[in-house]
Order: sequence, then C-alpha cells, then structure tokens
Amino acid sequence: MEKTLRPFSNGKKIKLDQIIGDSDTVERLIDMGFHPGIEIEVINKMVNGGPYILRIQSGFIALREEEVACLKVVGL
Amino acid sequence: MNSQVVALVGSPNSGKTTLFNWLTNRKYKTVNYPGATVDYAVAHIAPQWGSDIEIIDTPGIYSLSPKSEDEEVTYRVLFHSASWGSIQTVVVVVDGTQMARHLTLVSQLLACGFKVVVALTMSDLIRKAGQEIDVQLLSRELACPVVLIDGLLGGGVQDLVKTIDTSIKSFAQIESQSESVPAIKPFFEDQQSHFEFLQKMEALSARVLIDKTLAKDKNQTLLQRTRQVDRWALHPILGLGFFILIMSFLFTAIFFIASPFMDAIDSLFLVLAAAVVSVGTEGSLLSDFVGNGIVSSFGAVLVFVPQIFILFLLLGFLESTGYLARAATLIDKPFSHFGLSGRSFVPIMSGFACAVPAIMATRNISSKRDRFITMMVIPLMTCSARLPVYSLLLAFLLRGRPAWQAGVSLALLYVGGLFVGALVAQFLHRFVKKGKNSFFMMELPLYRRPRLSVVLDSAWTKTLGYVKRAGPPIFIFALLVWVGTTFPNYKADNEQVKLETSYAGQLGRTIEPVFTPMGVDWRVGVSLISAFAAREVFASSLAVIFNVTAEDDTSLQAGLLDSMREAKDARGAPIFTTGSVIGLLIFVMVALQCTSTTAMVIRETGKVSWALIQLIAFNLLAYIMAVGAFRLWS
Repeated sequence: MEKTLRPFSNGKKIKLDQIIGDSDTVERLIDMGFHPGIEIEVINKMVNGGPYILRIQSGFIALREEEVACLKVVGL
Repeated sequence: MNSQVVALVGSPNSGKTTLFNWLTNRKYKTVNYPGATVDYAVAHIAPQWGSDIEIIDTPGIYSLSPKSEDEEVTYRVLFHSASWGSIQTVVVVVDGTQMARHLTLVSQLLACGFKVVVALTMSDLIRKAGQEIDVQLLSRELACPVVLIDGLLGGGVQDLVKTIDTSIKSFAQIESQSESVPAIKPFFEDQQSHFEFLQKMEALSARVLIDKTLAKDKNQTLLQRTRQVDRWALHPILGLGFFILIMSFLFTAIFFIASPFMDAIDSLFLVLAAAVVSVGTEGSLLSDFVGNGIVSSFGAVLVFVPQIFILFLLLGFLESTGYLARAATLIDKPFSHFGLSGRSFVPIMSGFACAVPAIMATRNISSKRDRFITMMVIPLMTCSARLPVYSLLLAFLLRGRPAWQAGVSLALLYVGGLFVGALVAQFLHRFVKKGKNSFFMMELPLYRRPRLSVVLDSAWTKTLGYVKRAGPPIFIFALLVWVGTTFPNYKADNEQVKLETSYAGQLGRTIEPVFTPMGVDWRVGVSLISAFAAREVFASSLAVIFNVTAEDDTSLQAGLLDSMREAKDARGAPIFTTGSVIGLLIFVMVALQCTSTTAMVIRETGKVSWALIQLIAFNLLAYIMAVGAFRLWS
C-alpha cells in the first residue's frame, strides 16, 4: 500500500516508490535528488507540523509537510 | 565586447562564491541583468593566477529548469549571449560531498554543448572522512576536466585557471551559440528517463569515491558529525531552545561588543569636528562647513560600521558552519502563519542591521509572493539606524532612572517593530493572491568548521558595501541639513536668529501644523524630515537645530539632552514631554524614513507603485500611532 513518510519515526530508513504532486514541486524534488528506489532516512520532524529533516545519500534536506506528502513510499 | 568569458555555475551552498572570491580577490563589480531585478558579479581573474579571463558568478541553481527569479538569471546568462559574447566555458562547482546529486547539472550542461570544467569543492571534508575521489576516473566518465578545490585554503585554484585557459583555447574552433534565449523547457523527455539518469549519476559517484576506512556505509564517517549535532540542534524542542539562545547571543553581541567601538568613533569625530571649527577664525564659514558639515556627516555614516560588521561577521559565521539553513528550517512553521517561509528568516534577520542588504537578501526566496511580503515587512524591523534615535529619546525619557528600564524599553521597541511587522505580513497574507512555487525545500549543508579569515574577509567586504551604498545619501542629507540651517542669514550674530531665519526654519514653520498633533514644534519636524536621508540623521540635525556644539559639553548627547529639557514652543510650553517623546519613539519605530530603502524596494520589485504604497502607508500609520500615543500620555 502506498504511504507517505508521516508514520515513520526518526532514524527509520524507507525506500521511495513514487513522487506524486503538482509538477513544480515534483520537478524540484527530483532536482534535489529524489527518485524512486532511493533510500530516505527520517532524521527529525519539527513540532506542530513543521519541516521534516530527511537524508538521501550524503545530503540533508528539509521539506515541508506538503512537500513530504509528494513522496510515496511502500508500507512495510 | 569581451572575447573570453567564463561562467561559474553551481547549486546553492556548493562553495561557488568562495571559489569566485579566490579567483578574483574579491575585486568584482555587480551587474544587473537587463530586464531582471537580480544582479550577479563579474570580475577578471586575479593577476596572481596568470590569466585575464572574465568570470561571471551566477546565482545558485539545481538544474536547468529554473524555479526562482535568481535561478532564471543564471539560465539567461548561460543561454543569452548579449553583451559579453558567448560563454566560452562553464565552470560547474560541485560539492564533493554531494556529488551524486550535483553531477546532474554537469551532465545537463555538457548535453547542451557547453565546454565544461568541473571544480570539485569541499575536498577537505572528504579527506577528513577518510575518503578520496578518483579525479581521473570522474573526468573520463564525464568527458570533461575535473579539478579538486580546497575552498578553505585556496588549493587547486591555480590548476583550475590553467584548465579553464586550455578549455577556452579549444572553444575557438566551435561554432558560437545562438543569439536568443531558448524557452525554458524540461530537460528530460519524461520522468522515467530523468530517474534513470539520476541513478546513473549515483552509481558514478559511488565508483569514484575511494573509501579508506573500513566502514560499511561509505557515507558513515562523513555524516557522523552532522547527524550527531543535528540530533540536538534540530531536536523538535531543544532545537528551538538552541535557536533562541544563539539568536539572543547574536543580538547581545551586536549591542554590547559594538557599543565601545561606536562610542569611540563618535567621540573621535566630535573631537575632530571641534578641532576643525577652532582652527578657523570666529564665525568663519569655511571651518564651520568643514567641521560641523563634512566631518560630522562622515561621523554619522561611520558610527554604524562596528555594529554592521559584527552582524555580518556572526551571520557569516553561522552560515559557514551550516547552521543558518537549519535556523531557517526551525522558524519555517511559525513564519508560515504570516505568509512567510523559513527562507525569509535571513533577510528579516539582516533587517535588524540595515534594510538595504536585507532586501537584497530576499532574492533567493523562490515564491514571488513570499518574497514580496518579506520585502514589505523588512523596513519595520529595528535597523541599527533607529538605535541612536531610540537611545537619545530614551535617555531623555528615563533620565535618573535605573539602567534596566532603558534596556526593557529598548526591548519593547524591538518587539513593537516585530509586532507591527507581523500584523502587516498577516494583512498581506490575507489579501495577496496565492501564487505558484511556494515551496520551502532546503538543502542543509554538512556541518563544517568555518575559517576565520574567510568569514572576516566576507564580513569586511559586505560592510564596505554598506558604507558605499548607504554612505552617500546619509552624507548628502547631513550636508543639506547644514546648508538649510546655516543659510541665507549666515552672518547673524545670534545663532538663534540665524536658525529661525534659515531655509530649514522657514520650511519647518510652513509645515508646523502637521507636527502640532504630535505635540512637537517645527524644529522637531525639520529633524524628522531630514531623517529621511537616514534615520540616524535625526539626532545630529536636532543637535544642529538646537545649536548644540561639541564645545558646549563633553558629549554631544548630554548637550542635546539639556537643550531638549529647556526647549519651549511659541507659547512657552515644553516641547519634549513624556507624551511627545513616546509619540516620537513610536513614530520612528514604524515610519519608513529611509530613501535608500525605498530606492532598493523599487529596484528589487521592479515597480515604483509598491515602494510608494509602502512608503506612504508606513509613514501614515506611524503618524497616526504617534498622535494617538501623544494624546494617550498627555
């Protein structure tokens, strides 16, 4: 089943399955290096729905909740 | 028309600007791209590297599909060959620790037919993590030269210049590029091919990275420190605590470390002005002009240098450690309630030193709407030019009271500015139409130790930039005030008469009815108007108008305070009362009394109308609030 990163706690590593959303956001996510199959590590989540801190390869990237919502992962 | 032009391209935080500074010794000029409001730096490679190629530093981009105004400029510089002829070589700056993601740009540029040289930065970080990059393999695979750069020590720059020279020589045989800017179109035909391409780049970067440690994960050592620090620095609760602590330290430093230096500059110019005046014969116009006009005006410009330097220094320090991007992340959610984003943080922060550089710093906000709202509220932040006005008025208001009360009042004024700013942002947030590209998405660089000399150097350059930009208007208006208060009746025996019959006096009395509701007379009105040159001029022009000279007292401020206490209006009532001074404080807090700021907003928005609306609205609001405060406290 398709899921977002929301239920995953800090330190979890998940494989990205699909990027779905408005074209500009998707395009920029791809520019940042996101693509299906890449492993995402959840580093931290800010309180009150603030940005997520994610890691892909050696890069740390901060994404807002609605940006994170474009990243679909395969549920375990 | 220059025949040898090289563009420096790279993603934000790739070390591009540091490399540019190494290449050019910081001797560059900024150019505005025709039709765009974003400018970029152009310079010749410094003579010590043995070349005279012209090099353009472009705003950071992630790919060849631009998403913000500054990214679009990079795109146009690359594809439009108007004034400088074709770009003969593109130097792509790639962060060596982020190769997998940043190599995409290299391949895109190569595919477009550019001559590309890759400058691989952060090689020191990679070495420290026990890794090495197989430069030859990378160069072979990409089919372009690759040079390792050590941004902190400047290693590899000589090699880079040689490589660029060679690359340019081979350019001569190639047909020049088209004259027009091609429309911005997606680089890949479909997403799938883009994804495949990214995977290829990942595989390549994994192949060229030689790991000398025995860690299972190649990135382990490299990421260790950043991961550890971020566990605390970006902790949902502790992180905010850290943030508040660091920002409090920053503000405390701006005030407490800077103040002795500012006092020293202030006293120096006072002594200098007095000395110059005393050289001339009694009533000599020339010595008066040089002393009270020119020397004092220079003092007005230079007194802020320590504060601005310390702000730029500390911000630069935070930026080069990698913390500043994290601070923006921490503040993103709270800011989003006001239609701002974490990207507005640095510009707003800089607004506490000076609105002019702060407005320039809004350029990397990708959303036009966010950028607009940020620009609108920046002038409400308490810039350092408001400080001398606050300190004068607070010293008057709280004379003989314990010092902490002045501190608390000053803090209240800062909070007041923020509060009005939040209201304005909220108002605009509600009424300005939502646009596209409102994403945050921020790359957080790996933590690294900043190099003091690099940070110092950059703070110094920025401070000089401030002096050059803000200096002339401050200086000119200070001179105008001197002329306005000295002529036409400069031979009058009595200073009082001289002033009352002066141009400034005449103008002040004509517009006096405007200032009466604020509880002040024409003299304060003239000072408020002259403060449009720069707010700090308020105190010095008040001193001129009340004829306080350096000789009267050891300190200009003490003399001015005495004069303020004695000042009476035409009916003999005191001008500076609790009500009128509180009104003045509130006026200065809100009013946009800064022509440089308005000029900057015009330039950056590209529209006169918004700057004028901002100018009128803030000053009207300030006036109404000041009148209200005067009524309330009288």
